[in-house]
Amino acid sequence: MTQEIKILDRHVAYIEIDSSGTVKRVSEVAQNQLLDVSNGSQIKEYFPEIRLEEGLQKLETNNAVLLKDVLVDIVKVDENSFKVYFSANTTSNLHKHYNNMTFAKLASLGEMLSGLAHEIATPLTIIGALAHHIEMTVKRPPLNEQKLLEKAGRISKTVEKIGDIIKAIRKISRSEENDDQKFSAKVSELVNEVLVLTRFKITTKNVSLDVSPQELELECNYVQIMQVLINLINNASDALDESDNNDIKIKVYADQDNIVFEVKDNAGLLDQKLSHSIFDHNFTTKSVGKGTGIGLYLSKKIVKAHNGAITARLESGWTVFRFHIPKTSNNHTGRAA
Amino acid sequence: MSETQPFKILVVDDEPDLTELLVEEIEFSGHSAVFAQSGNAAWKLCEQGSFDAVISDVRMPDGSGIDLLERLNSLKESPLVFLVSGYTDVTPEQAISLGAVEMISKPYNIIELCSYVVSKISEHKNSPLNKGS
Repeated sequence: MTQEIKILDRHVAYIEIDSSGTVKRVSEVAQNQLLDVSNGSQIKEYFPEIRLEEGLQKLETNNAVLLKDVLVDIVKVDENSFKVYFSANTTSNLHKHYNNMTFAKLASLGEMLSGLAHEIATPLTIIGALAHHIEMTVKRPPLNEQKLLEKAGRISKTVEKIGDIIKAIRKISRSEENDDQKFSAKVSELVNEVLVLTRFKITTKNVSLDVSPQELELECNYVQIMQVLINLINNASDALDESDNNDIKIKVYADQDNIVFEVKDNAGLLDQKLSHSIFDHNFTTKSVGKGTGIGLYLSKKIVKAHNGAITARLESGWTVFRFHIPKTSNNHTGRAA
Repeated sequence: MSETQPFKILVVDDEPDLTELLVEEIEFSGHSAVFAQSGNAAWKLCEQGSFDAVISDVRMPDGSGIDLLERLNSLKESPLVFLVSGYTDVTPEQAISLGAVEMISKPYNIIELCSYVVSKISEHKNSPLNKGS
């Protein structure tokens, strides 16, 4: 923390937290301006850039990115109590930022829920039809046991499909409280679960998948890497909707130190000049109401939190988003989204 | 034209289990059915022969149900089109304004769908406007 603000009057906007980052008190000014902050919630939920390390002994804010327009100071009150101050005239920026983040999350969640409803609706229709066929088979003698077994087997297979969807939903909606930990994950499994969750977007696209070798493993925050891939695939799909082409190629491979993920499309919409700013907060090239300008920004933060890097390039007419993550990450585990 | 005459129905969906079951159900109810797994494949079948009705999913690779509906509208005698979708990207109003008879949401009851489609074809064929066509 390099900046110190000493604002000590009662009109100050601050949030009091304990050493675990749990919000204990929200000052009246902060309450009025940051309406969604409540006691018992986690400070990182609202200000992801605030990193709580070693029980706040090294509490620091990385305000260069997220909080660049906002003055922030964190003052230790006692061993287990800290006050996070905001300058009152800038809390509205934070509120706006938080609302944008919430909106982006809700918008993508809404889209995903609608798509997943369809993914479950189709197998349910199949199960209903198979049950009817079983009923008819029994009612119309002679009983054809082989036919019954075949239909029952197909019901089981279809139930398994729904199970896969629910498994993927559970993974992605897992409590973010526990999301700071990294585990070794099988990359092919991760990518397949991402494809289950994005199927509704890419069902009309020509998608090719190449995970090589299949046994690739990666130490990562599973949900966060899923989020990055979902975001890149959704973006590719949105870009293709605005073009005459229809191809998405997803490739995962390993080099000496890293696992490399590539998502590319042939929509040809990437402006090479904008390929750096594309990861900026609030930057979007999508039409009004479609892009929130947050997806790629969050993706970059997640990749960075894994000690990796992400790039966007135009290569032979293909828009290529490529990110790499060290095979064994020893990076900090701050929540990135 | 009698309403008891077997009707010819085209089922279009990229989910093979669903097309197979729908075809079985239509055949069980005394009509004939064929299937296609994409809008473009369905269009080829429509060019080769005529159908009384088409039951088509909306989102499919290689030609959507909407594209198919628009192409079918260009035919001199276009079949009745029933769009099916679990998504909310096409509303029933939009589907009808594009020329579909109805937009049916998934999940649906396959038996009810079949009898509904058959009743609509009968209704259409028995309407004074179409008698003798």
